Amino acid sequence: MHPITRFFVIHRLIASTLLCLSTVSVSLAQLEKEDCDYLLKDVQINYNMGLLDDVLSSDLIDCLVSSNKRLLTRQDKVAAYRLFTESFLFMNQIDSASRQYEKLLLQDPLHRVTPNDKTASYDFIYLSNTYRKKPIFSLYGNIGVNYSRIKVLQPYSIDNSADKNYDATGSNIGVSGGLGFEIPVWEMTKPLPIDFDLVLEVNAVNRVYNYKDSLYLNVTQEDARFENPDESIRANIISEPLLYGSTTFIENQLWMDIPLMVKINWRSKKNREKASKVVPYVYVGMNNSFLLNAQLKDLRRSTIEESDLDAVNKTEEKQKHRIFSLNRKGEEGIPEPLRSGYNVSLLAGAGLKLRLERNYFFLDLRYNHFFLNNVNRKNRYSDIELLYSFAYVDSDFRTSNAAFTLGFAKSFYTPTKKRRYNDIVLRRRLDRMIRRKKAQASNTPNRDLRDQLNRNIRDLERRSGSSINRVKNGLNKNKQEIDKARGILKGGPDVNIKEPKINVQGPSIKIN
Amino acid sequence: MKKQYFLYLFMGLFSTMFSTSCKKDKIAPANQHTAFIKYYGHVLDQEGHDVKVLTTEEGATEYLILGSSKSFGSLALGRAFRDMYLIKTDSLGNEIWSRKFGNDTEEQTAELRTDEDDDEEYEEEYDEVGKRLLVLKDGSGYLLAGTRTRYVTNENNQWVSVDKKIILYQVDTDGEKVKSHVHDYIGWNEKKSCCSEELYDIVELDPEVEAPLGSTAGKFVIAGSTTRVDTTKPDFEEEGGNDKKDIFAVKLDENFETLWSRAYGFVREDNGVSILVLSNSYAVAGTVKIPQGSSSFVNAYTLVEYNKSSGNVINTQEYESGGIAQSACWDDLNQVITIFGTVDGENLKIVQASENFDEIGKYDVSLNPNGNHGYKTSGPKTASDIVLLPGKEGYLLSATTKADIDIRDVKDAEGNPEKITGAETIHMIKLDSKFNTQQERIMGYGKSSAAGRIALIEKLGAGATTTTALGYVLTGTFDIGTNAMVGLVRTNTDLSFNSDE
Repeated sequence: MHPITRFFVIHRLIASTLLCLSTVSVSLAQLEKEDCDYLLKDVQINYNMGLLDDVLSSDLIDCLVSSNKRLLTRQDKVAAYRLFTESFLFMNQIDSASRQYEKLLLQDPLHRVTPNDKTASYDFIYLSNTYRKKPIFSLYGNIGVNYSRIKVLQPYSIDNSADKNYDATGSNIGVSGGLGFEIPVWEMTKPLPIDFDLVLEVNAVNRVYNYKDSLYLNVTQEDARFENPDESIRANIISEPLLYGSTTFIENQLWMDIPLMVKINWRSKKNREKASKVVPYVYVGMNNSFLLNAQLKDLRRSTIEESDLDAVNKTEEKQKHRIFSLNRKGEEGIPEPLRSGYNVSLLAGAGLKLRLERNYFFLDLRYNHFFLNNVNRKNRYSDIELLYSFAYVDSDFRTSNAAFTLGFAKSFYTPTKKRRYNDIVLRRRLDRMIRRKKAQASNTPNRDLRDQLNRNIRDLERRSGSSINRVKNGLNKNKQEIDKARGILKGGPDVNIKEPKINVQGPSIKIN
Repeated sequence: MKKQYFLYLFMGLFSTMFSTSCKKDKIAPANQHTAFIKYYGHVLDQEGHDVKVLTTEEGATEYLILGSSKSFGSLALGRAFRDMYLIKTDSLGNEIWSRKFGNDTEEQTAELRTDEDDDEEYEEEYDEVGKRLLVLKDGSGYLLAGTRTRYVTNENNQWVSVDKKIILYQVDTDGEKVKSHVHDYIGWNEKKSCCSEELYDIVELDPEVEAPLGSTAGKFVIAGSTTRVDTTKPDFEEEGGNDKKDIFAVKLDENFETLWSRAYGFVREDNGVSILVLSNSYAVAGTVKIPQGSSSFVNAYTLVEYNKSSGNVINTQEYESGGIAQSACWDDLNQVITIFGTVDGENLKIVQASENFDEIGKYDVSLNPNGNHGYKTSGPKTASDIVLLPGKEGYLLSATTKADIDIRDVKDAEGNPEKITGAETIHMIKLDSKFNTQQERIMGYGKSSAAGRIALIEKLGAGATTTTALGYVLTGTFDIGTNAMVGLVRTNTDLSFNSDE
């Protein structure tokens, strides 16, 4: 063949091959999706026919382990793993069954197998009950608003503080945001269907309150309204906001709150076996708060023009006046902080979790009751501007705070055996039990009794492996409970359930 | 087991956090009275000059403050004139009552008078400033002493001052007026007055000590200045036209009748500021303007000694050229007179002299040049008061200085702190027995702030012969921007405001 002709032939051959391969690869991609669907149905049929070997050797496993996540839907994967799990259980391969079930839980951590599930074998129900359904932990973020109220503990004033027992402060709205970390620690079934979470949060909270005070009360003015100073002055302060001078400001405090709480989630009895859509909760805890910044905004002192005086209306104003800052302690020219940098509060709250698949939204109402004085008493008179220009001195006070927040929580799951079904834990407990019994036996003076104890110990050691397996598989669970749920026991509906056996038609598992 | 661990963990954390909340804040009312700052007054301007510490029968502490106020004057006159202002407070500084003395009512209009010389009608009004306060030894009440300035309208219907007179109000323990007295010379009811007197100090004499003097055993001695100068002094014929004021001393009986009065000085402006009751005489500390060289005069501290019975001047001495004396105290245990004043307007200076007026020493009072919280003193200083501390602790001073102050949180374009310049700041200074500054408290920064007098809060020591200071109080004028108020400051003995001692 001529070299040029040979070149073109070879070139055409290479191009055709490439074209063919790409066509094949495209077809292969499409086929894999369809193939997986077909394989799943095939496995289902084999399972129903009791051909468990065929089930377990099916190429469906390739679809499950493929990096292409679109080969099978999540529900299909769950169904597939369930078939494998049931198959291994029927073949008494407990460990393999557990592994398959754990893969199922990775797809659907909240997968519930209830006694009412007629398609599930007893072994499968038992096995499912040995796994925890709770997340390992949850992380959440929240934002919200809060409302602060001031309680004056001890009035101080540059004028008559004997008349300062009224609350000269007003509440204001602040904002907050933060992150939280929640760990389930304990699940109770009796007497109440509640579970306990330990919760740690870090929040940035802006707390705000208003201050307004009338100044320079002269109790001996020749005016009828001052005849009864205690009541009249009090009435005047409340009903007539200003006598002839006032100091006003808005105090803004930025705190970092680190509360530690115990949260009690209520699981509906009806939905105990399922993940509830709505979970109410309450919580209580202690909160450590660290002040980051505090300042007075719109600080103003003014004398009010009285009707019978001319031109006495004067004002001292300042837009921002810092009274606490982490970065500026005692610098030259900067007074000492007027606020205490630390506080602790008791908090309590309630809310609703609204489940969104594995995660949840939540609405939360919280109340903080602070214990410590907000004021740094040592520095009460250290701010020269406040003292000598705005005629203001802090009274001792503490705050209480109510907050409403919204948030979203992401839960993280790992298929984990419940502690009481964990074989390592079980082995340790059994070994401890055997050691105790051996010690008991060696200390028994009675020979017959000692021999009996030793026989029991040897029996226990012989049966330890199967005992552990039995517990591990949840076979210590009350079978009656399941039977009752299935209506097999008296009082329940009639249900025709056949126990699956090898090479015998097993229960059908529907696949969508 | 897990449940138990969880429970223990939570209880441990809970109790740890809870225990921190049990830290006592010491916010009991009993701690409140250890220090405070209080203001008194109303919408217009007030001044604070003198303070006294009272002890009730139950042993409680009260404070009495004397000053002046424009806020309660005649509305018809636009509240243009001051009244004496007396305030009584409890131990926390809360006002119990306050009284004003001067124009009687807000509706009062000016007095209409007719000049005897030219039959012209004119309006007359008074401006009164309370300077010194006495707690009468018999327990009947208090004596308010000050200066009344008389104002009349001129042909343009403007108010002009014509003279000053010493005015005394005696009040009971509720502040109700018992009697009043204007220390008068001839011509007080004339539009053009001949002379003026101004009060700076008054003391009540101990009747037991004065008893041997017989008919001249008076009750009060006043020091101040007078325009009715001593015309017999040397150089008066030549310099009489420049001789504006002399040191004025007058002794009064219990009815305020004059037993004797004396004027002493040089041919310029001389002024007496403190009365000291020595063992056998009275001494007035003050300032004289003495000749320096052939043609100039310079201020100097001075002591003038008066015979108790006759009032004759028996000894005089000048000290510290350039000094203006503001206050003095007498240490009767060590027989030492201490004069406190300002030299050349810049330096606060103390001069000590013996009972014979021999100079013992001179001491500069150093202020912290940088002050606290960004204060930097710059400019004239004015001494105000000096008090001897019990034991051999030293002295307590009050003074006013001009200062530049950094305004925190406010910086200019270059990043430098903005300043308030030329603010008047009030100082309390504690000196040890060697006149070294131990502590200092700087207060206020308004344009018209001024330090007043200070007083000790004392308790009797062992054997009831010695006293211990529990704290100090100072009064003054605190300009808080919108207006000036009477201020009362109560500090601990280290001049701090800390409640946790």
